Amino acid sequence: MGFYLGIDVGSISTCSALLDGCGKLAFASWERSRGRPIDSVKSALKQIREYFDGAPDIAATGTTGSGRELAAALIGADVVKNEITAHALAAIDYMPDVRTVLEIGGQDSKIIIIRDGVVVDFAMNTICAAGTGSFLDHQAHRLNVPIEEFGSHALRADMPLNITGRCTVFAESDLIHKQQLGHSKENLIAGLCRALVENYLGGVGKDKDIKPPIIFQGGVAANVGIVKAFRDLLGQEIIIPPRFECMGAVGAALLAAEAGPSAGGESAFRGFTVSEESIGLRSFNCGCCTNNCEITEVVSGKQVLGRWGGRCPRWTGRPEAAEAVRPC
Amino acid sequence: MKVTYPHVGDLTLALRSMFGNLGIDVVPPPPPGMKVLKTGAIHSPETACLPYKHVLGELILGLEAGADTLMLLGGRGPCRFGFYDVMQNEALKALGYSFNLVSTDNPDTLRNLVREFAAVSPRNSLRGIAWEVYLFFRRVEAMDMVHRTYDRIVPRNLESAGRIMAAEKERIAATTTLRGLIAARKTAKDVIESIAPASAGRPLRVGIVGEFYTVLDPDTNFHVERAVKSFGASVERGVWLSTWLNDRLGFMPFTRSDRKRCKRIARPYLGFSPGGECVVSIAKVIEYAREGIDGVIHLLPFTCMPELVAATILGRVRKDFDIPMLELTIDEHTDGTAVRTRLEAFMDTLAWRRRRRLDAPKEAFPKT
Repeated sequence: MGFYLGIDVGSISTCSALLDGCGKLAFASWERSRGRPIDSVKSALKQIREYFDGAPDIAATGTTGSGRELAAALIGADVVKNEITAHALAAIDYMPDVRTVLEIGGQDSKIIIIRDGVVVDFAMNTICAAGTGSFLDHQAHRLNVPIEEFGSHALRADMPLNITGRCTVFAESDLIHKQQLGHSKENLIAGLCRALVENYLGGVGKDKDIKPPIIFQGGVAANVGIVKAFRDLLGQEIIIPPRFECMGAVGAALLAAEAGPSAGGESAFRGFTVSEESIGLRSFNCGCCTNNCEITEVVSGKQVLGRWGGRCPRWTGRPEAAEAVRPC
Repeated sequence: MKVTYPHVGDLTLALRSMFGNLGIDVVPPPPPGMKVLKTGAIHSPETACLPYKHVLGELILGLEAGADTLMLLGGRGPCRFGFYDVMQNEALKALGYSFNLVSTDNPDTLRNLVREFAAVSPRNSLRGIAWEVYLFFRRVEAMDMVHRTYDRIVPRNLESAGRIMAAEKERIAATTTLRGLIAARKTAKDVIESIAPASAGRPLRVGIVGEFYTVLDPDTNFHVERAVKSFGASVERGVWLSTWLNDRLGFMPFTRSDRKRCKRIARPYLGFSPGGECVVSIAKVIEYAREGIDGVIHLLPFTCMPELVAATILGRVRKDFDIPMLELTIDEHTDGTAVRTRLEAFMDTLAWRRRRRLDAPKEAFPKT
């Protein structure tokens, strides 16, 4: 029985999850992408090999996250799915009667409403990144608090401040203003957590029927200050799954397990040797119409693994097919 | 004298054939794309709505290509569309272009439109021109019919089906007589209906409502109709060029005004029309929910006033009728990947909901 591999390439972090044949989580990894998603995917594969002391047998693979196309081209994926579906599946798998999923990641936040194990509604932040992981990261750095301790600082607050959370730019200037008035770090951080949760509930959570049980996942669930703010504002218990930061990857692995190998019983997985390959990126402008789309291609040696970036289907699909339509 | 006009979905095709028949020299609008949008956006206020930027870009490129007369559809609605011609006139003058602007605004009547065509056409028979304008409307109507038929099927091969539809529309545009048009329309319907479907099952149905321009122009809305079809669903569109033209200009005096009907349906939520397609969006969603359509996509340009009103009200409609909705806000900064991610998740949601409805225990004899 092979394993099912899921990889979630987000803007800030890359996670991987490995489910065994029975669907049990056998391994999960999390690391920052540091702006180099290719290297982080390679490193995830390396970690799996080190953990199992050799390459485990892979039955099917799935990728998700904003870098899912890249990851799919890189490792050879059987399923490529959006992160909303992946997160929902992982949450339902963890708790079959879940009715609300709050997810805050590095650059985006979403809310998923589930009834009877089925997604009935969702929302994802569109323009504003207020309240996402990278903003908290930035503020933690500015206040000189390690991000891991950011939440516990908030719990020690005696008088959380009112911070405007409408927009990160305003939040930051308000934060600086309050800081210069001499307020304690604890109160500043607690105020910020509350403001961001208010922003989340008034933004993506607007018009959503938030009912318990509520699961909170994504990297920001590590922040106990944010968790407390959710608990206070919603007046509900907030459940945090054990591997909350890898739920996207777990969802991708579940999707792979459900769909199975893509091509006639064979997984599209290119093998763990991918981590040793030298992978290059090329991009060029199509120039066939005035959109002049920027097409990106991933190459390993001479082989084109995948192409994307076009508004029309000219460059998408199988690389061989794309080659055939090159002259326009 | 050379005329140029803005591009709006199939309007371009229909106008091209009418201008040809009237003997009016035209500079066709440039192919839609980022070049047009960027040209317009540079000379527009940043928060102007997307169609404004698009139209301005086309007019600038049209003038650069040698046009000296601009033909615009004016509005008189309370939304910014009513001021497009006024604003664009000023903006283009400030850029140093000299041109003659013809707008069908004030009053918005058919007679006015015919007179304006008479002013630019070398033909001088008012009756002949009126007949051409009528044929123009019938062509738009036929193209809409073709498109509506196409929307309702889920073809096995999207690309070739799309080409077949485009060819049928071209054939309709090429007709010169009413008899020829009616024949072409009938053939087109048969051709589209004979396209091989993807599967025999009942496909998901997705409604698309929203602002006129964003719904009508596939290059603006990231080909949302094609994307929905690629997920194996059929489309029901709430906005049509022929309906819009007929409601405003009254080509068919005996056809009931769709806008009035929409106002009546939307009345429990909104007692007046704030302009644009606001009441149409609300009314169509209510209708779709009653018809049992699986979900609705609401398209709006960033900062569009009437659709923002609609979006707020639709939040209540979706709750009252329990119909899933996806709101897509579009402007020149919108990212295609973001649109696709949400669309894919939305289609997953609809498929899940459908499955849940089918799996639900059927109580043939409900216990009281």
